[in-house]
Amino acid sequence: MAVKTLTIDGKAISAREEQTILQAARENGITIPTLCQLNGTSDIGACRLCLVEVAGIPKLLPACVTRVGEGMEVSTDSERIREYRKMIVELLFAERNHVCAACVENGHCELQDLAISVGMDHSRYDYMNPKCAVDITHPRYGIDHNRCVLCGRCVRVCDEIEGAHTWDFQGRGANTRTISDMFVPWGQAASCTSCGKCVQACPTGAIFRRGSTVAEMKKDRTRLDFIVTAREKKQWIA
Amino acid sequence: MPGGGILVTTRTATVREPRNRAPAALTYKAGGVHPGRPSQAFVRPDNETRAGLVYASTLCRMQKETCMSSTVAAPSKTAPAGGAKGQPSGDNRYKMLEATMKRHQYAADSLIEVLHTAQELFGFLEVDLLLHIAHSLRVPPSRVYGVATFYHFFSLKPKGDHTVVICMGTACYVKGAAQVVSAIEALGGIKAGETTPDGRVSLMTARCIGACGIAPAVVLDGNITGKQTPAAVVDHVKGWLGNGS
Amino acid sequence: MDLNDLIEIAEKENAGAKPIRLRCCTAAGCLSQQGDAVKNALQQAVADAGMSDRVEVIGVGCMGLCSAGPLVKVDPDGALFEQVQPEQCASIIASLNGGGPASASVGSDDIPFFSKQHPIVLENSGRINPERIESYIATGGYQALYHSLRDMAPADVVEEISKSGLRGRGGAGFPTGLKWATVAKMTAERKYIVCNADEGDPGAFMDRSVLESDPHRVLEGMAIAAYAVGATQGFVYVRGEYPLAIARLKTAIQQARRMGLLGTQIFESPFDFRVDLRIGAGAFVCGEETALLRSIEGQRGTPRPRPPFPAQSGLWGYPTLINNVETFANIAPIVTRGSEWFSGIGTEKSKGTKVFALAGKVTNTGLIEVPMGTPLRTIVEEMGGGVPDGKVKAVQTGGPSGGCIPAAHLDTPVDYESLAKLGSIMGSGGMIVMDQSDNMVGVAKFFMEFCMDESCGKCVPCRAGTAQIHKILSKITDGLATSADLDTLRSLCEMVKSTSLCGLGQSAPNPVLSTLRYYPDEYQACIDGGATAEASA
Repeated sequence: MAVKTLTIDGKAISAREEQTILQAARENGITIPTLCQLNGTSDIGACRLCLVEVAGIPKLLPACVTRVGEGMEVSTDSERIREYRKMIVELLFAERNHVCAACVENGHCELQDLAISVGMDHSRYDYMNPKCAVDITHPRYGIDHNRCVLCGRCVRVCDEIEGAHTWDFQGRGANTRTISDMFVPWGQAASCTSCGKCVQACPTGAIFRRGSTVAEMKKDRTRLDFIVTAREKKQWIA
Repeated sequence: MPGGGILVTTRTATVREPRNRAPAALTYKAGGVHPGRPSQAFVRPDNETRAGLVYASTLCRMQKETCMSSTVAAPSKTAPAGGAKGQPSGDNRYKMLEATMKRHQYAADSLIEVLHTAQELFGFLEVDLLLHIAHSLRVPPSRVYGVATFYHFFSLKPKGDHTVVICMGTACYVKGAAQVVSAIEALGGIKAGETTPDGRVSLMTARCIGACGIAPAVVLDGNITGKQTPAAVVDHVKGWLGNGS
Repeated sequence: MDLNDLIEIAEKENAGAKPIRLRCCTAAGCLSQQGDAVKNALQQAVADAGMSDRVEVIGVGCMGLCSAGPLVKVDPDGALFEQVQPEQCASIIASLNGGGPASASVGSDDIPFFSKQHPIVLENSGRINPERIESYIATGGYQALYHSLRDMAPADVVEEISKSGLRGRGGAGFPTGLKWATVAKMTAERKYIVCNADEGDPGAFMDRSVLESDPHRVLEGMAIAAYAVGATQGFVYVRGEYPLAIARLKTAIQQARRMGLLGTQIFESPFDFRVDLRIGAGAFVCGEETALLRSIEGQRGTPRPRPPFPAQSGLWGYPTLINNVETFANIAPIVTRGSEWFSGIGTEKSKGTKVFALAGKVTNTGLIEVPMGTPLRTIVEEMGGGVPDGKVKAVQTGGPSGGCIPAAHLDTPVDYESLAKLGSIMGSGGMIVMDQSDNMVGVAKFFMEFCMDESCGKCVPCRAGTAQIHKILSKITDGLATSADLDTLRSLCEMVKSTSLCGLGQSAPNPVLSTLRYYPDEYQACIDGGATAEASA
C-alpha cells in the first residue's frame, strides 16, 4: 500500500494512494462541501461543490473523484472557490421551488445547511418556478419534485445497494425529472421494494416518509454506509 | 432520400465476444442483469441476494401483468407470446423487432439500436412497447424510459401524416429559418414540436442537418430542400393541410 | 488479398474508365437540389446521343461549392457546370461533341474558391464514386494499410503519426500521436477504436461530407489506428441526422469486409479488425467523448469526469481510442507520404490542413480545405467571395462552443492558438459569416438556447447556469435588463466556464463572452434603448 503526502489548505497530510482528495481531507478534519456524494455509492462528480484548486493545474478539480498525488498542494477554500460554491447553491435554490419554511426537511436539510455554510441569504438569480408534481401514491413514502436537486443519490442507492433500479432520470437539461419505472406513479412502480433507502439517501425534502413531522424526518445516512460496509466485510456471516 | 429507413438494418451482429466476455460488474452493473446469460439474469454476484430475487420476482410480476413477452423466462424464443393489448397476434412488426434484438443477442447495451428499430417499425415508442423492450433486454424499465426521453430522436407520441423539419442550425438561423418556423406555426396553429389537431402535419425543428451550404434548409417528408422561403414552405404545407393525400 | 491484388483492382478500374467522364455530385447538398435527376438525365442524354462507348456519367461525393449545386464536372477538359437542371443535360452532352456551347452556366475551377485549397482529406471527394470500393482502390486506397501491416511495427506507425504533428480535428486539438501512444502503452485484454462522427455543431458539415464522399478513407485510417494501438474492434458513431452518410458507410463496411480489408487476418497478417456502426439519436452532448462512450453502451449520454481518460478506461472499461472523422481521414496520406511531408504543411504548432464548412452570409458557401495558418480574410473574402451585399461583421467559428471573431481581426491566421487567443476555438470547422444585419446579442442568445436545450442535466452549473444565462439574455433582448444584469451575466458565464463537468458546459459561455468582449455597445444599446429588432431567437 503506497502512501502519498500532500498538503490541503497548508496542512501536511498523508493518504493512501487510492484515496480521493475528499476522503483524505475528511480523515484530517478538513470539510469540503458536497451534495451528490454519498458514502456507500459511486461518485459521479455532478454537483461541482467539492471543486478544489490544485497548484499547477489551471482547471478546478472535483475532490470526490480526484485521487491524491505525491506533493499535491490542494486549496479548498480560496476566494474564487467560495464565490463559485455560493453561486452553485444559489442556482440550485433558483432552479426549483425550495421553500424551507414549508418543507418537511426544514432544519436537517443538506441543501439548507449548504446555504448557511456558504453564507447565502438570498438567490441573486431569477426563480425559474417550474411546475413540479408531488407524488404520494406510495403508501409509505412520497416524492416532491419541487425539492429535488437531481443529485442522483436515490438513483444510485436504489441501483447499487438495493439492486432494484426503480429510480432513474427522464428527459435532459433543466427538464430532467426523477422517475420510477416507466414514468408511473411511485405507488404503481412494480420494481420498488419499499426498502426506504432512497428516503435515507435524499439530501433534501424531495423524498420523505409520509405522516412524519418535521422533527421525525431526520434521515440517517450512516445506515446506508453500514449496509455497504457490512456487505463488503461480510459482517453478517458469523 | 428516406428519412431514416436505413437505420433498421444496421448490422452490428458481429460484435459478439466483447459483450459476453466483459466482466459483469463493469458492464451490467446498472441493470443488475447479465444479457449474455439469461439463466443468471437476476443474480448479481456482489449484491444482496434478497434484493436481486425481489427484483426478479417483481419483473416477473410485471411481465404477467402486461403479458407482453415471454422473453424474460425464455429469451431465446423469437416471437413474443402475443395476445396482449396493442399487439395483434401475428403482428409482423413485433417479429422484426424480435429479430433485431436477437441479432444483438438481447444485450443491454444494444438498447439504443433496438429503440431505433422500434421507432422505425412503429412510428413512435408507446409505453407498452418500451416495457416489452425492457423485459426482452432485461433492462430496468426506468432506464429504458430514461434513455428514450434523453435522445430527441425518439418520440413517445405519434407523429402526423406529414412532417416538416426546419433546420435551426447557425447558417439557417442567420438566413432566416426562424421566420420559416413562425410562418408554419401561424399556418398550422401549432408550436414547433407539435402536430396539428387533425393529425395531418407535424412541425419539428432540427439542430443542424448539415446542409449549411444551401441554408435555410427544410426537410419535407424526408426530402431535404434548400434555400427555402417562408412563402414556399407555407405553400407546400398548405397542400398537405388542404387535401387528403 | 495482397498488394498485387490491390494494384490489379486499381489497374482494372483505371483501364475501364472511358475517355470522357462526367462527374455528378451526389452528396446531400446537391441531392436536395435534384442532383439525382441531373445524373439520370445525363445518363439518358449520353445514351440518346449514342456516346456510351466513350462517355460515362458517375455519381461522386461533394465537390465543395454547395451554393452552386448541383455541380457537374467534365474530365479531362475540366469544365465545371453549375446549378445544372435536368433539362439542360442534353445540351451539355451535345457540347462535348462540339455541338455548340452548353446552355448550363459554366463555372471555372480557377476561382480562388478552388485554387487556394490544399486538399488532403478532401482529395478524393468529388472524384471517386463513394459507393464503389474499387473506385477508392484505384486512387491507391488501402495501400497505406498494407504498408503499415507488412512493413511497419505498430510502434513505428505511432511514431510516424507523432512526428507528423497531427492534432485532433474534433476541436480541442490534442496531439493525435500522443493519444495513440497512450492507448498503445496500455496493457489490456481488449482495446477499442471509436470514430466520432457525431458532428453536432450547427453550421458544421465536414464530417458528413467526408463520410458521404470518401467513406473508405476513414475506415482505412481506423484500421491503421487499430493496428498501431492493438485494437480489434471499432465503432463509428454517426449522427442519426445523416441518413446518406450512414447508408454509404454501411455499404463501405460491407464492401471492405467482402474484400477482406476488414475482418480477420487482413492482408494475410495476424491482424483482425471489425468495424460496426452506432447511430446517434439526437443529443449534441454525445460529441463529448465520455458521453459518446456511454451512448455506445446503450445508456443516457451523460459525460463523466476525466480522468480516467478513455485512453485508459473507455468502452466497457477498456482502453479506447477516440478520434474524429477528419483525424482518421488524415492517417492514410501521412502513412503513404510520410510525416515530413505532412509536417511541412501548416504552421509551427498546427500542422497540415483543416476542412472548414463555410456558410452564412457569404457568396460561395460550401466546403474548403486550406493549410493551417491561412488568414481568415483569405477564406472569407477571397475564397468565399465576401458578403453578397454588405460587409462582413463577424465570423463565428467553433459552433456553440466557439466565439464570434469581429471583422477587425480578419487577418488572424487560422490555427488552434490564434483562435483561442481571440476567445474562440477552432472547433470542428464550422465557419459562419455574419453581416451588419445580424444582431450579436441575438446570436449569443441563439447559441445559449442551444446549449440550454442540449445540456444533459447532470452537473448543476451547466443545467441551471445555462438556463439562467439564457434568461438574462432574454431580458436583455426584451429591453428589460439593467446594467447590473450585465455584471451578473459576466460572472455567471465565468463560473459556468470554470466549474462545469464537461466540454459542453465549459465552452457554452464562449459565444456570450466573445460578443460581450467585442460588441459591448450592442448589449448596452439593448439596455438603454429597450427592445431590439432581433428578439426572435
